[in-house]
Amino acid sequence: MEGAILMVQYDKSKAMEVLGIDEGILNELLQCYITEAEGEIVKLEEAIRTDNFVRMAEIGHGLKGMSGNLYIYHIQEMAKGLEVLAKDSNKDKAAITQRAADLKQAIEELK
Amino acid sequence: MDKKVSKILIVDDKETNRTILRLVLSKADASYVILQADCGKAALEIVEREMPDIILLDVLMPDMDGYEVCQKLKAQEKYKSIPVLFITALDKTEDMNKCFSIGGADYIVKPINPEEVKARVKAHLSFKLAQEERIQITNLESVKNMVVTYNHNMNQPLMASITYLEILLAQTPAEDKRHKSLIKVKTELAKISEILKKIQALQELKRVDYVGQTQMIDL
Repeated sequence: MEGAILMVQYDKSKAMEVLGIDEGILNELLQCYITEAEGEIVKLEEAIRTDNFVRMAEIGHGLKGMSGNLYIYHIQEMAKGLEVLAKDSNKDKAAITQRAADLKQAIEELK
Repeated sequence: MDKKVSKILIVDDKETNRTILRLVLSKADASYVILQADCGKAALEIVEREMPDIILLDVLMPDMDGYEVCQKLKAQEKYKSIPVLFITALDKTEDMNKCFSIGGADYIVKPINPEEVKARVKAHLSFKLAQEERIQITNLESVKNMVVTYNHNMNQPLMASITYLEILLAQTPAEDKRHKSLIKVKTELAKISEILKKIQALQELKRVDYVGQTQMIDL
Protein backbone atom coordinates (compact mmCIF):
# COMPACT_ATOMS: atom_id res chain seq x y z
CA MET A 1 0.00 0.00 0.00
CA GLU A 2 2.93 2.31 0.65
CA GLY A 3 3.66 2.33 -3.06
CA ALA A 4 0.48 4.33 -3.57
CA ILE A 5 2.11 7.50 -2.26
CA LEU A 6 5.13 7.15 -4.50
CA MET A 7 5.64 8.73 -7.94
CA VAL A 8 4.39 12.05 -6.61
CA GLN A 9 5.50 15.00 -8.69
CA TYR A 10 7.29 17.64 -6.64
CA ASP A 11 5.74 21.06 -7.26
CA LYS A 12 8.73 23.41 -7.32
CA SER A 13 6.62 26.54 -7.73
CA LYS A 14 5.57 26.65 -4.07
CA ALA A 15 9.17 26.53 -2.82
CA MET A 16 10.29 29.11 -5.40
CA GLU A 17 7.46 31.45 -4.46
CA VAL A 18 7.77 31.19 -0.66
CA LEU A 19 11.56 31.20 -0.54
CA GLY A 20 11.75 33.92 -3.20
CA ILE A 21 14.29 32.06 -5.32
CA ASP A 22 14.56 31.12 -8.98
CA GLU A 23 14.61 27.59 -10.36
CA GLY A 24 18.40 27.55 -10.67
CA ILE A 25 18.91 28.21 -6.96
CA LEU A 26 16.14 25.77 -6.06
CA ASN A 27 17.82 23.07 -8.14
CA GLU A 28 21.09 23.68 -6.27
CA LEU A 29 19.21 23.40 -2.99
CA LEU A 30 17.54 20.23 -4.18
CA GLN A 31 20.91 18.73 -5.08
CA CYS A 32 22.13 19.49 -1.55
CA TYR A 33 18.90 18.04 -0.14
CA ILE A 34 19.12 14.81 -2.17
CA THR A 35 22.76 14.19 -1.20
CA GLU A 36 21.99 14.80 2.46
CA ALA A 37 18.75 12.79 2.44
CA GLU A 38 20.51 9.83 0.83
CA GLY A 39 23.06 9.97 3.64
CA GLU A 40 20.20 9.93 6.15
CA ILE A 41 18.71 6.84 4.47
CA VAL A 42 22.05 5.04 4.87
CA LYS A 43 22.01 5.96 8.58
CA LEU A 44 18.38 4.85 8.81
CA GLU A 45 19.16 1.45 7.32
CA GLU A 46 21.97 1.05 9.84
CA ALA A 47 19.62 2.02 12.68
CA ILE A 48 17.08 -0.56 11.48
CA ARG A 49 19.78 -3.24 11.36
CA THR A 50 20.77 -2.47 14.95
CA ASP A 51 17.20 -2.00 16.24
CA ASN A 52 18.04 1.55 17.29
CA PHE A 53 14.52 3.00 17.39
CA VAL A 54 15.60 6.27 19.00
CA ARG A 55 17.96 6.92 16.09
CA MET A 56 15.22 5.94 13.60
CA ALA A 57 12.91 8.54 15.15
CA GLU A 58 15.65 11.19 15.06
CA ILE A 59 16.31 10.50 11.38
CA GLY A 60 12.60 10.66 10.61
CA HIS A 61 12.38 13.95 12.50
CA GLY A 62 15.34 15.43 10.63
CA LEU A 63 14.04 14.36 7.22
CA LYS A 64 10.64 15.81 8.09
CA GLY A 65 12.17 19.24 8.81
CA MET A 66 14.44 19.29 5.75
CA SER A 67 11.64 18.22 3.43
CA GLY A 68 9.19 20.68 4.91
CA ASN A 69 11.60 23.57 4.44
CA LEU A 70 11.67 22.80 0.70
CA TYR A 71 7.91 22.13 0.56
CA ILE A 72 8.42 18.52 -0.50
CA TYR A 73 5.19 17.60 1.19
CA HIS A 74 4.98 13.91 0.27
CA ILE A 75 8.43 13.12 1.70
CA GLN A 76 7.71 15.32 4.72
CA GLU A 77 4.62 13.20 5.43
CA MET A 78 6.49 9.94 4.90
CA ALA A 79 9.25 11.08 7.26
CA LYS A 80 6.66 12.14 9.82
CA GLY A 81 5.14 8.67 9.57
CA LEU A 82 8.56 7.12 10.11
CA GLU A 83 9.08 9.21 13.25
CA VAL A 84 5.68 8.16 14.59
CA LEU A 85 6.34 4.47 13.84
CA ALA A 86 9.77 4.59 15.50
CA LYS A 87 8.35 6.23 18.62
CA ASP A 88 5.42 3.81 18.82
CA SER A 89 5.60 1.24 21.57
CA ASN A 90 4.72 -1.55 19.08
CA LYS A 91 8.20 -1.25 17.49
CA ASP A 92 6.86 -2.36 14.11
CA LYS A 93 10.17 -2.99 12.41
CA ALA A 94 8.57 -4.36 9.23
CA ALA A 95 6.54 -1.17 8.75
CA ILE A 96 9.60 0.95 9.42
CA THR A 97 11.65 -1.05 6.93
CA GLN A 98 8.94 -0.54 4.31
CA ARG A 99 8.80 3.18 5.12
CA ALA A 100 12.57 3.44 4.73
CA ALA A 101 12.34 1.78 1.29
CA ASP A 102 9.55 4.17 0.27
CA LEU A 103 11.56 7.17 1.42
CA LYS A 104 14.59 5.95 -0.50
CA GLN A 105 12.52 5.59 -3.68
CA ALA A 106 10.84 8.98 -3.24
CA ILE A 107 14.21 10.68 -2.83
CA GLU A 108 15.50 8.84 -5.89
CA GLU A 109 12.52 10.09 -7.89
CA LEU A 110 13.48 13.69 -7.12
CA LYS A 111 16.61 13.32 -9.24
CA MET B 1 27.11 56.88 9.03
CA ASP B 2 27.91 53.17 8.59
CA LYS B 3 25.17 50.71 9.44
CA LYS B 4 26.04 48.26 12.19
CA VAL B 5 26.89 44.79 10.88
CA SER B 6 24.83 42.05 12.52
CA LYS B 7 26.39 38.61 12.92
CA ILE B 8 23.86 35.79 12.74
CA LEU B 9 24.87 32.26 13.72
CA ILE B 10 22.84 29.41 12.20
CA VAL B 11 23.21 26.09 14.00
CA ASP B 12 21.72 23.02 12.33
CA ASP B 13 23.20 19.60 11.55
CA LYS B 14 21.40 19.59 8.17
CA GLU B 15 23.20 21.51 5.45
CA THR B 16 19.95 21.92 3.51
CA ASN B 17 18.33 23.76 6.43
CA ARG B 18 21.37 25.97 6.99
CA THR B 19 21.53 26.88 3.31
CA ILE B 20 17.83 27.79 3.17
CA LEU B 21 18.15 30.03 6.23
CA ARG B 22 21.30 31.63 4.84
CA LEU B 23 19.54 32.37 1.56
CA VAL B 24 16.50 33.83 3.30
CA LEU B 25 18.51 36.06 5.65
CA SER B 26 21.05 37.17 3.05
CA LYS B 27 18.21 38.44 0.91
CA ALA B 28 16.62 40.20 3.89
CA ASP B 29 19.53 42.49 4.73
CA ALA B 30 22.88 42.88 3.01
CA SER B 31 24.49 43.93 6.30
CA TYR B 32 23.91 40.50 7.86
CA VAL B 33 27.03 38.38 8.26
CA ILE B 34 25.95 34.74 8.29
CA LEU B 35 27.95 32.24 10.32
CA GLN B 36 27.17 28.52 10.31
CA ALA B 37 27.76 25.56 12.60
CA ASP B 38 26.75 21.94 11.97
CA CYS B 39 26.84 20.84 15.63
CA GLY B 40 26.67 22.19 19.17
CA LYS B 41 30.41 22.02 19.80
CA ALA B 42 31.20 24.00 16.64
CA ALA B 43 28.51 26.50 17.61
CA LEU B 44 30.11 27.17 21.01
CA GLU B 45 33.52 27.64 19.37
CA ILE B 46 32.09 30.14 16.88
CA VAL B 47 30.29 32.03 19.65
CA GLU B 48 33.56 32.38 21.57
CA ARG B 49 35.44 33.54 18.48
CA GLU B 50 32.86 35.71 16.73
CA MET B 51 30.43 36.86 19.44
CA PRO B 52 27.33 36.75 17.19
CA ASP B 53 24.42 39.15 17.71
CA ILE B 54 21.79 36.42 17.41
CA ILE B 55 21.69 32.61 17.18
CA LEU B 56 19.21 30.48 15.23
CA LEU B 57 19.43 27.11 16.91
CA ASP B 58 18.06 23.72 15.90
CA VAL B 59 16.92 21.54 18.81
CA LEU B 60 17.52 17.95 17.72
CA MET B 61 21.16 17.47 16.79
CA PRO B 62 23.47 14.54 17.44
CA ASP B 63 25.93 14.66 20.38
CA MET B 64 24.87 18.00 21.86
CA ASP B 65 21.30 19.13 21.29
CA GLY B 66 20.09 22.72 21.04
CA TYR B 67 18.85 22.78 24.64
CA GLU B 68 22.32 21.95 25.94
CA VAL B 69 23.95 24.54 23.68
CA CYS B 70 21.54 27.19 24.95
CA GLN B 71 22.07 26.23 28.58
CA LYS B 72 25.85 26.39 28.19
CA LEU B 73 25.58 29.85 26.66
CA LYS B 74 23.16 31.22 29.23
CA ALA B 75 25.41 29.97 32.03
CA GLN B 76 28.10 32.41 30.95
CA GLU B 77 27.59 36.09 31.74
CA LYS B 78 29.24 37.33 28.54
CA TYR B 79 26.86 35.35 26.30
CA LYS B 80 23.65 35.81 28.28
CA SER B 81 22.48 38.77 26.22
CA ILE B 82 22.73 36.95 22.86
CA PRO B 83 19.16 36.12 21.82
CA VAL B 84 18.68 32.44 20.96
CA LEU B 85 15.87 31.62 18.51
CA PHE B 86 15.04 27.95 18.41
CA ILE B 87 14.12 26.65 14.96
CA THR B 88 12.71 23.16 15.10
CA ALA B 89 10.19 20.69 13.78
CA LEU B 90 9.05 20.04 17.37
CA ASP B 91 5.74 21.83 17.74
CA LYS B 92 4.22 20.75 21.05
CA THR B 93 3.50 23.27 23.81
CA GLU B 94 5.91 21.53 26.19
CA ASP B 95 8.70 21.80 23.58
CA MET B 96 8.07 25.54 23.30
CA ASN B 97 7.91 25.93 27.07
CA LYS B 98 11.24 24.15 27.47
CA CYS B 99 12.89 26.50 24.95
CA PHE B 100 11.72 29.55 26.86
CA SER B 101 12.46 28.09 30.29
CA ILE B 102 16.14 27.58 29.46
CA GLY B 103 16.56 31.13 28.17
CA GLY B 104 15.45 30.96 24.54
CA ALA B 105 14.19 34.31 23.23
CA ASP B 106 11.87 32.89 20.59
CA TYR B 107 10.67 29.75 18.85
CA ILE B 108 10.09 29.14 15.14
CA VAL B 109 8.51 25.93 13.86
CA LYS B 110 9.76 24.14 10.73
CA PRO B 111 8.91 24.27 7.91
CA ILE B 112 10.03 27.84 8.20
CA ASN B 113 8.08 30.74 6.81
CA PRO B 114 10.80 33.04 5.41
CA GLU B 115 8.86 36.24 6.12
CA GLU B 116 8.35 35.16 9.73
CA VAL B 117 12.03 34.32 10.15
CA LYS B 118 13.11 37.67 8.69
CA ALA B 119 10.67 39.61 10.87
CA ARG B 120 11.60 37.82 14.08
CA VAL B 121 15.34 38.11 13.48
CA LYS B 122 15.00 41.81 12.70
CA ALA B 123 12.86 42.43 15.80
CA HIS B 124 15.27 40.63 18.14
CA LEU B 125 18.28 42.41 16.65
CA SER B 126 16.58 45.80 17.11
CA PHE B 127 15.67 44.95 20.69
CA LYS B 128 19.25 43.87 21.45
CA LEU B 129 20.66 47.06 19.94
CA ALA B 130 18.26 49.19 22.00
CA GLN B 131 19.26 47.29 25.14
CA GLU B 132 22.95 47.85 24.42
CA GLU B 133 22.32 51.57 23.92
CA ARG B 134 20.46 51.75 27.21
CA ILE B 135 23.34 50.03 29.02
CA GLN B 136 25.80 52.43 27.42
CA ILE B 137 23.75 55.45 28.52
CA THR B 138 23.46 54.05 32.05
CA ASN B 139 27.22 53.49 32.24
CA LEU B 140 27.92 57.02 31.04
CA GLU B 141 25.48 58.41 33.58
CA SER B 142 27.28 56.50 36.34
CA VAL B 143 30.66 57.85 35.27
CA LYS B 144 29.22 61.36 35.06
CA ASN B 145 27.74 61.14 38.54
CA MET B 146 31.01 59.89 39.95
CA VAL B 147 32.99 62.69 38.31
CA VAL B 148 30.55 65.36 39.47
CA THR B 149 30.73 64.04 43.05
CA TYR B 150 34.54 64.03 43.05
CA ASN B 151 34.50 67.49 41.51
CA HIS B 152 32.32 68.77 44.31
CA ASN B 153 34.53 67.14 46.94
CA MET B 154 37.65 68.71 45.43
CA ASN B 155 36.08 72.12 44.97
CA GLN B 156 35.46 72.72 48.67
CA PRO B 157 39.09 72.33 49.86
CA LEU B 158 40.24 74.30 46.82
CA MET B 159 38.02 77.25 47.72
CA ALA B 160 39.26 77.09 51.32
CA SER B 161 42.88 77.06 50.10
CA ILE B 162 42.28 80.11 47.92
CA THR B 163 40.67 81.95 50.84
CA TYR B 164 43.59 81.19 53.17
CA LEU B 165 45.98 82.18 50.44
CA GLU B 166 44.23 85.54 50.04
CA ILE B 167 44.61 86.12 53.80
CA LEU B 168 48.29 85.22 53.60
CA LEU B 169 48.77 87.51 50.63
CA ALA B 170 47.06 90.38 52.46
CA GLN B 171 49.44 89.87 55.37
CA THR B 172 52.55 89.68 53.18
CA PRO B 173 53.98 92.99 51.93
CA ALA B 174 54.67 93.19 48.18
CA GLU B 175 58.40 93.74 48.81
CA ASP B 176 58.56 90.48 50.80
CA LYS B 177 60.26 87.82 48.63
CA ARG B 178 57.56 85.28 49.66
CA HIS B 179 54.88 87.49 48.09
CA LYS B 180 55.96 86.49 44.55
CA SER B 181 55.74 82.80 45.42
CA LEU B 182 52.29 83.23 46.90
CA ILE B 183 51.14 84.95 43.69
CA LYS B 184 52.44 81.93 41.74
CA VAL B 185 50.49 79.55 44.00
CA LYS B 186 47.35 81.66 43.47
CA THR B 187 47.80 81.44 39.66
CA GLU B 188 48.14 77.65 39.79
CA LEU B 189 45.10 77.29 42.05
CA ALA B 190 43.11 79.42 39.60
CA LYS B 191 44.06 76.97 36.84
CA ILE B 192 42.79 74.03 38.95
CA SER B 193 39.59 75.94 39.57
CA GLU B 194 39.06 76.39 35.82
CA ILE B 195 39.55 72.66 35.22
CA LEU B 196 36.98 71.84 37.90
CA LYS B 197 34.51 74.25 36.29
CA LYS B 198 34.87 72.40 32.99
CA ILE B 199 34.26 69.08 34.76
CA GLN B 200 31.19 70.64 36.35
CA ALA B 201 29.86 71.16 32.82
CA LEU B 202 29.57 67.36 32.56
CA GLN B 203 26.36 67.74 34.49
CA GLU B 204 24.93 69.02 31.23
CA LEU B 205 25.54 65.61 29.63
CA LYS B 206 22.56 64.72 27.49
CA ARG B 207 21.49 62.49 24.62
CA VAL B 208 20.53 64.13 21.32
CA ASP B 209 19.32 62.91 17.95
CA TYR B 210 22.04 63.08 15.36
CA VAL B 211 21.75 62.63 11.58
CA GLY B 212 18.34 61.00 11.56
CA GLN B 213 18.27 57.72 13.39
CA THR B 214 21.84 57.45 14.66
CA GLN B 215 22.30 58.80 18.16
CA MET B 216 25.31 60.08 20.05
CA ILE B 217 26.26 61.33 23.48
CA ASP B 218 26.78 65.09 23.56
CA LEU B 219 29.50 66.03 26.02
